[in-house]
Amino acid sequence: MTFRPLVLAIALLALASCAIYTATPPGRVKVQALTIDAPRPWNKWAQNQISDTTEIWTSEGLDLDFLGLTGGLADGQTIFKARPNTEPPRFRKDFDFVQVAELFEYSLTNLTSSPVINVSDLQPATFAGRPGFRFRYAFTPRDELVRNGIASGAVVDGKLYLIFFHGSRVYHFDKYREEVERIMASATITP
Amino acid sequence: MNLSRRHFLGGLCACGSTTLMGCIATGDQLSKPVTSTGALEAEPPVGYRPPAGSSEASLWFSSDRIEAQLKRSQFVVRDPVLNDYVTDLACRLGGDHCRDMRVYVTRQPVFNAGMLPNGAMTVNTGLLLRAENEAEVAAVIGHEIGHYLRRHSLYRHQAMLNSLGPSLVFAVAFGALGVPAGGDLANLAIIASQFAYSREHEREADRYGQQLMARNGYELQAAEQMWRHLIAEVAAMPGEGSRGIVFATHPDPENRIAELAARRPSFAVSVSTAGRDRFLAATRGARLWMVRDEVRKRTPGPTLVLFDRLLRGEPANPVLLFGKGEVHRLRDAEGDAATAATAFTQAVAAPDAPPIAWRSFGFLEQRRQNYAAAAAHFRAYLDREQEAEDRTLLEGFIRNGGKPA
Repeated sequence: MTFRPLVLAIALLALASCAIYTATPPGRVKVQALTIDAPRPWNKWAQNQISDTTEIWTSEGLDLDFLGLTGGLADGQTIFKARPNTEPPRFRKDFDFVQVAELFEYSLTNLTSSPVINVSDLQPATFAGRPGFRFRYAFTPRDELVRNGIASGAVVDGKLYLIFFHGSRVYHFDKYREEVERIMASATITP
Repeated sequence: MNLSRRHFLGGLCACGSTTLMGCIATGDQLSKPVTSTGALEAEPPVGYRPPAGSSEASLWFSSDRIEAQLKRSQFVVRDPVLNDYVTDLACRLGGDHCRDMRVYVTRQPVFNAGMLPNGAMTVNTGLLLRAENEAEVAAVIGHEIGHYLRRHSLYRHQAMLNSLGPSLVFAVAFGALGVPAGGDLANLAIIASQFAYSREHEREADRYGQQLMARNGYELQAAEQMWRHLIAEVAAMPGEGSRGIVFATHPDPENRIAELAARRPSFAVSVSTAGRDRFLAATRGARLWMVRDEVRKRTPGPTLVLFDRLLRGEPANPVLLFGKGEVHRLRDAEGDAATAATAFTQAVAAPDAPPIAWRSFGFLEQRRQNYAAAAAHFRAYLDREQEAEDRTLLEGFIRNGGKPA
């Protein structure tokens, strides 16, 4: 009986990890000031518990493939919510794309607690018809399933617009990469 | 595992994993004190395996499964120099029990170590980064061996079996070790801290640690020193949330230091060493990535306390100077850019400076709009790092006179 509160805590943890999804409508989808073309429905994480600023979609489950859509991160905001007793990196409106890539790397570190994260191949690229950037990333979280990822975005009028996707290196990243590239290429910004 | 105060100090009692430690020992056996003059009492015999069918045997079976996961884990460091060094140190401390122990250095930038009842020991890289000498590492490993030899986890194991059932005991043990299992058990690490060793067991493990250090000629003050280091880091952490929990389940750190110091004279050590040179030589090759892992945690307060402390002992160490500069560069609060520039300047002046220090210095100067300096630093980086992943990007910056493209 001593541990009844503990058992309850474990049950709550299990419940908290449940994800509830809603299907996105096929076609043009608006995420705040970011609009993309997603011809088929994705599963939007309706009870997104890790971010107030980024919509999270998946095809087969968040542990396998993870699409993030940030439709205008304002000065001082974070990509993901802060973990307890930590200070997540915050976006600043004057960030250049090197700083955005660092922001992303450390945001993901803060989210996943992974000691093994690598951002690479950062380069200037057009995003939504504007000067932007793209980069690749990879990380190994505690489940030890290695994820590969790609990201593309731009800072427009002091706000960060970002699309990032990662999936398991063994299968899901390659499976959805081309589709995600098309989604990235379809992005438009209407601030 | 994230660096909350609870986890951080939870690591001080190390051992977090071991609800699994268990045996058939009675309370009387476990209450025997360590003698101040020599032999440790009530140790299991060398080569011990629990009798088949006993509850302890099931505990060992679970431990063996965890260890099998550990062997495959991507977070186990394969660096032979580091592994040989830590294994040799644990072996010397363990004496005849060396043959019963296996050491796994785990890539976790958090202070922690642990030991399973079957003799599998984990030593986090966060511990190795924080130590200043071999004696400090010996203090923690000796403490862990104390838990192991006294089989302290029996009590926790039995208490949890009575309350929760074996499957959960197993799950908590996984989570506490930081070892991914067949499911997301990371959250259970938090719960595991509720099953920390009793204060008396912590004290007994401390005594064992001191005894094993004395036997091997280490400076006993190192155990107290390690605590002081960690208290200073915890004080620099944001938030106050976990401090009470830690102190509720473990001896107060200040009292612990006082007890260690009070007991110290009872251990006769004719010649003592900190083993500083040995330690620095063994960890030199891993220092850069351990520093980068620490920086990546983005806990600038405690991380700067750590780097500044280490720099007091090694003021010209380019890896530590790079780390300090990087923390300031990334925090980018008022005054940070100037402090970062000073640290990077000192770092790149060293003949054995890590190439990445030039890269970071370049980004800093680019940010400060010192474009010519930025271009020069990027060039210096690329000249030294032939395999630079971002060569195309940086060459573009250089062609642009150091300005962002």
